[in-house]
Amino acid sequence: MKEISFRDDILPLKDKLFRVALRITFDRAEAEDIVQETLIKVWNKREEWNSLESIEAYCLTLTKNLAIDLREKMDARTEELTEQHDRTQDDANPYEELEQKERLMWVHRLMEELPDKQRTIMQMRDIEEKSYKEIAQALDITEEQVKINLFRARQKVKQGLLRLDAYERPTN
Amino acid sequence: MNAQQIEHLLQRYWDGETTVDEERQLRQFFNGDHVPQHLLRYKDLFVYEEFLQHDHLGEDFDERLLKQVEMPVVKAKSVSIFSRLAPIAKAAAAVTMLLALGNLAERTLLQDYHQMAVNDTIGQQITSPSVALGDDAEGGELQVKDSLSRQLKTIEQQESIKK
Repeated sequence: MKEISFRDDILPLKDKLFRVALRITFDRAEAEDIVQETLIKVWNKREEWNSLESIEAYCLTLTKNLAIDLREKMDARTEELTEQHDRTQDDANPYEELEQKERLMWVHRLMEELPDKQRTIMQMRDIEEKSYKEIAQALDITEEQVKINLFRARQKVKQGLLRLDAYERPTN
Repeated sequence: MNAQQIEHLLQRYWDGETTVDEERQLRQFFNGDHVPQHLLRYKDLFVYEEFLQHDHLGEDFDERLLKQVEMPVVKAKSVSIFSRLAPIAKAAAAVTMLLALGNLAERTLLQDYHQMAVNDTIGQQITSPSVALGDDAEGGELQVKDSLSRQLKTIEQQESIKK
């Protein structure tokens, strides 16, 4: 078996891990801390690298678990702060920051609810800025299918946003 | 861009008819501070898209991490002449060392070898007297190898003695 090198095999996973952590925490600083913690933990287990089936899968699981743990802690704190906020209206700053994250998480949940193909296409287009042609080639479908799926995905997300709006402002 | 233009662009976005560039304009607009009240409900989506576009770690991440795992950080530019020549100097030192050791080992081993050669000669005389005998008796004839022909030879020798 080829010997695993930290620099060449593990460190290059950092951006992949960062994307995973970012999509769970929706906080860049926290996501970065999580990637760092993951890589240090993996480094400290270097005697076990060769007995692992996939070092990448191992790193991804570690990052995911750390991010979920952190989010649960954060959610608990949000509740606390929301209660405080209800009582003291002036100190709105930490509340707003947390609310921003909550909003991003809400949109993320909307995206997660889409069928796989629709979600992948919308991500490739709206986040990665890929052309219809590039998406069609990557997914081995026609450009027409890309357009139809993108249309459906955006319509569903729009409905979700309107639902959230109605929930937030039921009196309107 | 005024609200009317944005509404028009937004409609085309939902219908999947905007270009990549127009979608960029929408993200820019909705991430700004001047989103009209009636369009705020769509803001989160474009903030989300913009947020996830910046999904790379800072350039100093590697350095900070490698410091923590106690690995030296490799920097291509900051190699001094001394450290560049260091491998050659090390190699030269190693070769010199090997030569010196080789010389020393050669002397010691040769000494041993001479002693062993002497021992061997003595040992041969003790363990295989027949060869010496044969040489003496036959006067440089072919060496006798198996025991049968050695026995035959002994008989011959005995006969020649009798004569």
